[in-house]
Amino acid sequence: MRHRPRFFVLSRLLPALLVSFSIASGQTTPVKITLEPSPSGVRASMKYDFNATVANTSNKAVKWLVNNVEGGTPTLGTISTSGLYQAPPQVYTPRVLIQVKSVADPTKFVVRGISLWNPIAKVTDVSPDDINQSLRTEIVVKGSLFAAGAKIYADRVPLATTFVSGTELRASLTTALAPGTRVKVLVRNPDPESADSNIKEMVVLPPVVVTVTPATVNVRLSAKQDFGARVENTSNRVVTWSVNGVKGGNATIGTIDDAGLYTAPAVLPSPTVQIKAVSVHDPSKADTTTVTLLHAIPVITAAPPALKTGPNSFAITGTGFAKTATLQFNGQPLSAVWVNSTRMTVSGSIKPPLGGYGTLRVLNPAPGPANSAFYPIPVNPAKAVMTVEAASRFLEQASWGPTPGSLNRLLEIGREGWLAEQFAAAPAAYPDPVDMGQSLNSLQKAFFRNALTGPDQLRQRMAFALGQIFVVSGVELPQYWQMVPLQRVFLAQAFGNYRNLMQDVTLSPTMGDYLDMVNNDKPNPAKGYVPNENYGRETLQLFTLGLSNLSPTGARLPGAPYTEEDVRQLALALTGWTYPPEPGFASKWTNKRYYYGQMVAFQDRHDISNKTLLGQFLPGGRSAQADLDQALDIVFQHPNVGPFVSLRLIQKFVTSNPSAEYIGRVTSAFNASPRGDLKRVITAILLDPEAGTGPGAILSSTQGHLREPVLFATTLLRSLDATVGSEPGLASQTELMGQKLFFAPSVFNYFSPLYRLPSSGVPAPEFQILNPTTALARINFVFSASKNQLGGGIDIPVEHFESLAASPSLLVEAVNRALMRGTMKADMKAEIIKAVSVTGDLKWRVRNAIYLTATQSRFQVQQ
Amino acid sequence: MKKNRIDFAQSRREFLLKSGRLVSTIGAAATLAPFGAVNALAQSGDDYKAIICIFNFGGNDANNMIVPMGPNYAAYQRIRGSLALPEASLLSTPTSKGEAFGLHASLAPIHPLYAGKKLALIANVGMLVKPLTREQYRSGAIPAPNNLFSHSDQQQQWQNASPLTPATTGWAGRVADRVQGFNAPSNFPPAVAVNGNSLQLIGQETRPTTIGGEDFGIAGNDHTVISDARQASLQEMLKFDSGVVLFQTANRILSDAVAVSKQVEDATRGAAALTTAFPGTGLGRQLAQVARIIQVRQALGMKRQIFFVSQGGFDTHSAQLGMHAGLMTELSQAMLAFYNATAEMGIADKVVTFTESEFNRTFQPNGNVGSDHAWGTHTLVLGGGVLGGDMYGSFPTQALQGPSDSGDRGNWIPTMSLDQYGATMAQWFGVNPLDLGLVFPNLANFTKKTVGFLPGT
Repeated sequence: MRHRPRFFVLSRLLPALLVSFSIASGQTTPVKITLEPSPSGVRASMKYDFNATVANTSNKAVKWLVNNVEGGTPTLGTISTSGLYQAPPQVYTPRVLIQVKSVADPTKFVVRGISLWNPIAKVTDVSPDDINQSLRTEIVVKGSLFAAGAKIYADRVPLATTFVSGTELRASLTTALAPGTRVKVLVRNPDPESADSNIKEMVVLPPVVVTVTPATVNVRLSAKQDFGARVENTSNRVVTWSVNGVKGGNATIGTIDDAGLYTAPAVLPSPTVQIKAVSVHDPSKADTTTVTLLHAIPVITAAPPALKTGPNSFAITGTGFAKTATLQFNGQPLSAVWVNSTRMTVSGSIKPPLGGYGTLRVLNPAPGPANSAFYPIPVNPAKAVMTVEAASRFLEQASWGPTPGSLNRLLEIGREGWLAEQFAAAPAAYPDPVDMGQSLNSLQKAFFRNALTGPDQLRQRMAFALGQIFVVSGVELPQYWQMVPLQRVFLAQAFGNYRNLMQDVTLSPTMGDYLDMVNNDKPNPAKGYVPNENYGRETLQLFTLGLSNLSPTGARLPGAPYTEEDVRQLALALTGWTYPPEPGFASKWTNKRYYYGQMVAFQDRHDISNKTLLGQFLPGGRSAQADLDQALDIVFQHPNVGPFVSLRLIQKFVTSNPSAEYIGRVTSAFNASPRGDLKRVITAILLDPEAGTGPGAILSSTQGHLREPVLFATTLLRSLDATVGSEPGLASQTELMGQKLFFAPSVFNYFSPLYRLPSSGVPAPEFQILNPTTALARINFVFSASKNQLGGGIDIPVEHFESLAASPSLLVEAVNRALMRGTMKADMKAEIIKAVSVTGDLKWRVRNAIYLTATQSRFQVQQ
Repeated sequence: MKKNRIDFAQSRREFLLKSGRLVSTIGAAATLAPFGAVNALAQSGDDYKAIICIFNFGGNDANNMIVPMGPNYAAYQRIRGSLALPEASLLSTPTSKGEAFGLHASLAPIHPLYAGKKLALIANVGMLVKPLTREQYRSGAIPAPNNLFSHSDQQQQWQNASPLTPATTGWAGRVADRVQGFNAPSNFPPAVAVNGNSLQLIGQETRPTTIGGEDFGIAGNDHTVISDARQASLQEMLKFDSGVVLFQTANRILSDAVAVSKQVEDATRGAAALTTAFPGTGLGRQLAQVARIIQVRQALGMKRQIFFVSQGGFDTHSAQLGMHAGLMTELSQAMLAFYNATAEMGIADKVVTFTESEFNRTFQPNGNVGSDHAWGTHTLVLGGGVLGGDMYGSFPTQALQGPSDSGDRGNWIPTMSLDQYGATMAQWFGVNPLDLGLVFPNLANFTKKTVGFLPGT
């Protein structure tokens, strides 16, 4: 095929050559011109050197013409005077005539017809270097000598080629070859004299793969999420991003930028959206990931600077509030109305919080339920008729410790109102024993449960105080049924009359057993015994008169209120009593142990001699009951009783070291008619200026008392708003602190009301049981409490303090308000903040704050 | 107080320099006592001494602890009536004068130590201002102690040796004041109570401590950054001076507690347990604790230690016999175990254990098979160095309204003062005889200052 055109050219050229030759030979020896060689064709842009020989003349000069144009033209090709033909850069005409003409005889010439052939293309670059399998790919071939009609061949297969220029061709290629195969690319210029270029190779790659990361993700509203798209098997890693098919997304479903940064919408559109990345290189390749939209983490940025107890309504601002968000204050729900994601209006009633601070919290529900950080707000009493400091002190004196609730109530109604409520409150109950073997452990638990939770706080405090005057002890009466009847007497008579209390105690089988008035027989000369003096002595020394004569202001006066003979006479007057008969049994001397009701008299066991007690005559021959009544009347009327009882009760409630005037005022209340009214006495004690809780408060630096362990424990727990299960096991703790509840070592109580500090002589009864061992027990108890690890169903809401603990100073201030009436000194505060701040662990911050506050002498001692 | 200690250490060094003697630390301590004077008897080689008071709270019925036998038993039996112990039950303790006495049967554990001459019996000791007869008492010619028969007052008087005026220091504390130089430079408290505060141990210069159970220490002190910060701040705030005595006192006690707990923790770390077993009674546990502290005396740097333990429940107004037998059992078992522990430590002859009780009980019973508050009592003294196997003092005449009875129920007027009883131990312990009157203000009223149951007294 390729040679045939060449023959054709020759056959057409030959007759002409023959004609010209014959003409020349008809003359003289004609000039003869020959032309060598005779190529059949020349490729465009190539050079070809022709050689002409002129004979028979000396003039050898020739002219060179192309298609009769001397020297040729750019489109025909040019030829130099020496016969060097330069083919045109491309084939404009398939055939040219190269003519050489003698200058000597211009008739003499030779013509050679030559074909102009397309050049052999040269490929310098094929791009891209690689091609994805099955992907229709635009190929750009660069090089030179591309002829119009040139075709790009890929592995011998011609492609529909676009001729851009002699240096650039383009075509589309889709290959099915296996990845890794090298595709041979060349350019074939068309006929005339079609020829293949050099070969360049393209590598076949696997199809493009797009992978979006993260594959699935939760994104909170308004939050940003960076997505990445990995594009494999191409160097073109560009993708286009869309959300739910919308390129770049929009405000409703969230937007995504070219770099894949997604911004979630502010309001939940639907639970999920689709994020898609499409390969720009191969738009058929894409990856999609599902975004689960979650509610934002709400943030409160502004709320009222303070709230008040009771009803409140206010607005909060912030970010990320879900439409269905709820709101809590100190864990209690308040009614919240959603305005928009940055604003809510709130209303509801607020309980007085622990430590004077509450925390607001916005709770976004599912999807992605999330709570805001705690937003602390001080809560002030809605109504306060007295200062918090005075009210706290009053409740430390008059109750088992202030709770946030009891403090608020007192602030509302004042001391007199509070006392009236207390006098009317239903008494706490001790349950009946399960059986006779039940131990005092149960009574201890009932005691602490009542103290920590009962509404009749003052009655219980009074019963506890009276029980430390009229002491009985589990050391000798270790069973519940032995002890509980007398404890019920103390509760019943707490606001009664001291004389009635003396009567009930004297006839109590519990006391009778403990101090041996029970079964105390009249003297028996035959057997050589006399009445037991135990109850007679202790009722004078410890329950009514004491060892010294006293002035109405408690000053010791010369002389003693009673003699050994008075002890003996009182013992005689109190003979003849035995246990009450157990129901169903006949009463006899002596009845077996039975602790309910009052002891019963047997006249034949009662001493009926004439007696003289404290200088007053008790005529002989009377009944045991008559002697007892008169004897107790005589004792009760002794002027020592008022100051004796007053001092002891003041010490239990207010201060170890009352002034003479204070004792005198309380004595007056005791002595006023009707003498011995304990309701009047306790009112006088608690409302006295020296108690420091009302107008005209007098507070001396020696005022106050060390909190005895039982009171220390209850005050700490109530001040921390602890909740209590049915069996608070605090007795073992107070035992370590030196006060085993209901187990006073002897009738002299856990400590003596007359104890004075050895170093200074200052009266301080409770200090008698404070020593290095019990001091450590007290701080170790605080440590357990700070960790909320007291057990026994006691739960201290330490999490409330944790909600404030992000700020050490706020935390310490709340603990200050809870435990120190808000009066913590600056140096102490700074020291505790320092210790709290060493850790970011909120639990330990709270623990250290509570520990360091409650171990301080300013908390150990109530002043 | 600290200052005194430092001053004393200073003077001791000066003394050593002046005397120019080369002495070991132990020898130096032994040669020195406060103010340069010391009882020569304290100057032995391995110088350590301890006295341990066991206080029987409630008024021990000593009439049934030490009982006359032989010819004197009949009077006892007749008057004691329902409370009389059978003669056959008594454990014989004949005196050097040939008098027949017997111990309560429940004292069996320590009875052999009487024959072994480690246990001495002290007869009719009690609170006195001056020697006193029945007639002098009844006429009021010579003052008697205040508030006889009152538990609280008599407990205080036995501890402060001050029968007429209140005193806030105790006689053992005043002894500690005078022997504290032996312990220099240790600042560990010389007097230790185990079961609560004790007036007896409070000195004018020295301050006692209490070391309760084995878990004596600060909870949560695990030396993390958090606990270290907590403890540092606690101690820092204990230094804040409020100027308020109740705060100051509470702070001082807690400061002592922190310091002592650290010393005890350091001293007892790694100490091997004694092999002597103690009874699991209240008194047994207390004396076990005393033994543990004595065991680490060298780590604590102690040469003279005073301890106070107690046993309650002696106020036996009714149903006395069984209760008292139980109390005697607890007492004797604990005393024996403690004696054995001191023997195990090789210091039995350096440790003296003695009993106290605020008063005896009426010799005549009451109608409840019990007895009431009385006066002069009997006590026990036990130790390897005790001149035991004998009775000291004079036993009361067992007769109601007799010469020994202050009233009509057998309330014995003491014939030995607490002052003499305590001074005997104080002198043995190292108090200069010339200083005994500073410890026992009424000792001057008695001819014999000490009563001989310890060497050199």
